[in-house]
Amino acid sequence: MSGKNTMSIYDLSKKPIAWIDISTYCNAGCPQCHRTDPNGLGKIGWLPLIQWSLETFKKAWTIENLNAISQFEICGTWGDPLMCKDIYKICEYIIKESDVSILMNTNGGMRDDDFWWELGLLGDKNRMQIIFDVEGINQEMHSHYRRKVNFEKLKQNIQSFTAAGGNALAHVIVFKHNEDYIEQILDMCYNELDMTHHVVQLSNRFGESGKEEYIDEKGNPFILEESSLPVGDPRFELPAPHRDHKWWKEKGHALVLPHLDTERNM
Amino acid sequence: MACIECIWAKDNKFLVNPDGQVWPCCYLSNQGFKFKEKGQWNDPDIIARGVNDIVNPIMQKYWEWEDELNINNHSLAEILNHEWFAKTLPDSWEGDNPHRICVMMCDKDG
Repeated sequence: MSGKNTMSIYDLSKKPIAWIDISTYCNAGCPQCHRTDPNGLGKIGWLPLIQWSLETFKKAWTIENLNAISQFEICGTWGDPLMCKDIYKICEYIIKESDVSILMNTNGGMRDDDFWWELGLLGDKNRMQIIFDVEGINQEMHSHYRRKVNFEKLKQNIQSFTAAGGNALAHVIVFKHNEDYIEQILDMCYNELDMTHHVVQLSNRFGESGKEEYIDEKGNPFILEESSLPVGDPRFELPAPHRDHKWWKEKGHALVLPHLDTERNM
Repeated sequence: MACIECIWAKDNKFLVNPDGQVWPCCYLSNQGFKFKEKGQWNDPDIIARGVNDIVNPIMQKYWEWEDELNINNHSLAEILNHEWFAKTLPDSWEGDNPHRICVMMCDKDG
């Protein structure tokens, strides 16, 4: 290598966190996502379709490289990681061959409940957490932003995952259309879907007008509006209405993020 | 002069793009990925116009070392200790031409 080694900006002795993007495929068409063409909600034209196979992953993430990090954050800036055909095998490889933990974002609307059951069985609660986007209490509300995601399928998938012991966090982005339903969304997440934790945050991708116009997948125009809730609204800090306290106390909550940064899986 | 403290480095966190390129944060990586896929990073017209996000020395150095900063080619330790991460980038924060995004996202006084 021509670049000479000096002193990294990272503390490698403390095993850094690796944020990895392994897929540019997605089943959804979320309007404010970097991946989305606002005119029709498909993939933006310049973005190539890429997904990492297990073989590719193992070649890049050798045991030596796995041992150099503490955690994967598999977010999905350009696509949903659960769209990788080999995602289960990739997670299995990480879990079985290293001590690295996994935090993974998804819209949760793909695959069947058998897949989510198996994924729930794979991860110890302190080794793997899946962050599901949940932004409504019914199909209309949820898919006003999470376009093309089947709400009932999402709920079934989360239920299968948590029933198998999976650790599921609810990620709720607040817009005008769901700002009055935050409590109900969280109630559903904990009491119906048995999720572990939640993060509620405003979308930060609006311009000054607070309104954005899009053309949906059927060619119809629609408007997405910014929430009117102030940043300090207490609904952003609501406590969990219910939680598996036995696990929470016994195992801690090592994987629960203190906050989600604003670029995450919009 | 900006007072830049990289929030990702402070969290001891880096990013690997779908193409295997290793970047310090999502802000620079998103730009880098887009510029590369659109063929803009080495577009003579854009460079001649001096578009700073592209001609900024940290970006031009990155592309010069592109293969060495790809996890499909080198070990993680080699990449994170590479001169780009150890000198080029942090030195730019102390200089008079830091990247616009570093200033926008990580200027402590901004």
